[in-house]
Amino acid sequence: MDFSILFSEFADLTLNGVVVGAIYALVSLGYTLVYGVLRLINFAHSEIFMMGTMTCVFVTSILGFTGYEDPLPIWHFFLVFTLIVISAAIVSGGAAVILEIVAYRRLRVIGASRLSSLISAIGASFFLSEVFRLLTGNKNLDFPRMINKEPIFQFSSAYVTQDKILVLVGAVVIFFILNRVINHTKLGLGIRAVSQDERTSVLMGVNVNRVISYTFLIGGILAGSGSAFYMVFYETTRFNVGFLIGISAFTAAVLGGIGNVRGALLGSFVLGLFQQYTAAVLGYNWRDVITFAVLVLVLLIKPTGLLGEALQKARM
Amino acid sequence: MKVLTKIGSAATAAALMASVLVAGTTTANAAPCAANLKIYFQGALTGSYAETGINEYNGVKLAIKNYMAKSPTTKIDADAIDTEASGAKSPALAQKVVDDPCGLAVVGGMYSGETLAAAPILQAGKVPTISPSATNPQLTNKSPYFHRVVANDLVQGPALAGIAKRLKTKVFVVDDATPYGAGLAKIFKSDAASIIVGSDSVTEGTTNFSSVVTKVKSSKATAVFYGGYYPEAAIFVKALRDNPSTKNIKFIAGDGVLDGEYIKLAKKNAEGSYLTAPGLDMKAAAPTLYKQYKAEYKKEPGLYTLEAYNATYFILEGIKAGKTERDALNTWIGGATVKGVGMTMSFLVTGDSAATVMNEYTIKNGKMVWVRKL
Repeated sequence: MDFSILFSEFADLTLNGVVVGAIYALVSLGYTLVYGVLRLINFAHSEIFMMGTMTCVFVTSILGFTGYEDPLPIWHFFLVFTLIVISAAIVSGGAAVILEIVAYRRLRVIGASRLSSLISAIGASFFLSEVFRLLTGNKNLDFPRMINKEPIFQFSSAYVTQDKILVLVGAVVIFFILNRVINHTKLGLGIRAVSQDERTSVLMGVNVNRVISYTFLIGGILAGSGSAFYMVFYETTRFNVGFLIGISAFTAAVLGGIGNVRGALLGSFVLGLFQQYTAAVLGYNWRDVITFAVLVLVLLIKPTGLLGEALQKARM
Repeated sequence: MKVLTKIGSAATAAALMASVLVAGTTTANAAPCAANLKIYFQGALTGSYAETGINEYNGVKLAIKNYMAKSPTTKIDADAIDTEASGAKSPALAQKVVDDPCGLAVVGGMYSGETLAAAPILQAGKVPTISPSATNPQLTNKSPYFHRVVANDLVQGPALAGIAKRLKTKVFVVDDATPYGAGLAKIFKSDAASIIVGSDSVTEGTTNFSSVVTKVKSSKATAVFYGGYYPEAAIFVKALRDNPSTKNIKFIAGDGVLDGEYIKLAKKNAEGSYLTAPGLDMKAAAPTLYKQYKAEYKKEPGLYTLEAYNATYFILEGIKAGKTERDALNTWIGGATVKGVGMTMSFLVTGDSAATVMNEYTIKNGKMVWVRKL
């Protein structure tokens, strides 16, 4: 165990932790938003993210990007990246809406138990992941290098690169837009109403099915955008990428307090940083052992997570 | 009395069941092979590791094709079990070979983990096995039915340590926690103990190497040894080259990384890697076969294509000698010496290859290049 690395490489580990945390946040928000309105863990959300990463690879190959050696000029990159984000958001958002209609709505309408929805969620997750396993031949798919990853400047031990700035700025912009939608639009009001009390909101004239569909759509769009940032940062994907990141994003949502948007954000950054620090001090393979041990401890002390209230009254 | 009757009927039922089971087993074993005998290939034909597996299976098929071209009395077909190189999947698939009355022998497994997991099943079914590429030392003496035509990691590990010492490096060791990767890293560490400045272990499928790169950077290492396979190695070497502090670090790895797919995934970052393999360069060692292979498959052979060809050739020589039953063939394999293409093969009682070959390779201009014999 070498604690000195925590001090000598603090800036580097922190920057990487924040970047990873930002990507987790974009995925964990989908878990938390759906939980807010449905009291359901949408286990297939990780596959919605995976479909976003596949879309990114597909779009770049259609655009003819196979190269790696020559990053694009910055404005050219932004143009291409915007197209990729929009495509991934459309595919993931659309897939999330279809998923809700196919896997959950019928069960909800006939008043099936939560357990049925949970099994349906897990089934949908396996279905999507296996379909993409077959489609991609179970291989790692490469994403072309489109952005220059040479450091722009060095801050203490951290190298600040364009892709890290892109992830952080992009995530902040998306969080800002989400905040506006949730707190300042009629749709946001509907989402908040349904998450506080579904029956009363129906009596108040809220179209619950529509609100739920929109919530899945927003979650899908966030995961799709997150997948584009993920691909620029990691440059690789495969059929089970959703499972790997989904388990971390879901943990982050629970850590922050599931159903709570700010909680999901906080949980994601805390988890991202914690994973980097523990991996550096104890070794990569101890990372998840310690992370989950801490999660259990936090939940023992505060069962609703860091910012959560009573689960039944989770707020947006 | 009632109790006695019950016991009596239970005993009868048990006896009946036992007789059915025995009959079933006997039938399965005694069922004659209605078609041609088969040599199975065990390895990955789909998945991340498929490139190595497809190249090896091509070698198996080519050997059988050449054998069949001479119209032999015993006809042989090639078949494969696609394990995806997974130790979780290989035992059930090995059972399929055992249960196939036409299944005579296996060329494989391709990687150590899946081979270790399948060995007891193939031993129980008395299926003679020759691996063209599994190098983990735990396979030595694992089963009287297991053999391999390549040197094991007790030869490869010290050879890799020799490279690290020759380059006068300070090494950071990373492995992927698989039997092969962790095993090779352990041997490397014990042989290069004096120059090791740190180590870490990741898992198969890792995409985020940022904390590992930070540790490498902090250790001031001048070389990294990676014990694992090419999909993760490609991501790792990319992450190292992207960081200014580790940009020029030397990358040393074993045969799990030496594959065309490594170059495809890591691109220019793979250039100059220091790699070893107990396999021969087919182009240099067997030029005629190399030409035939290229004409047949319209692609370059991979590492271990030649070894897979020769392992199959060994089995086919046994069949030519009239050994068309599993046990008899296995006994023959244990005692024979066969001159294959570019190499002469025989096995120790432990199942290991009697001859040991170890080569150093590098990646130059996007191509795998043989450097020297170690």
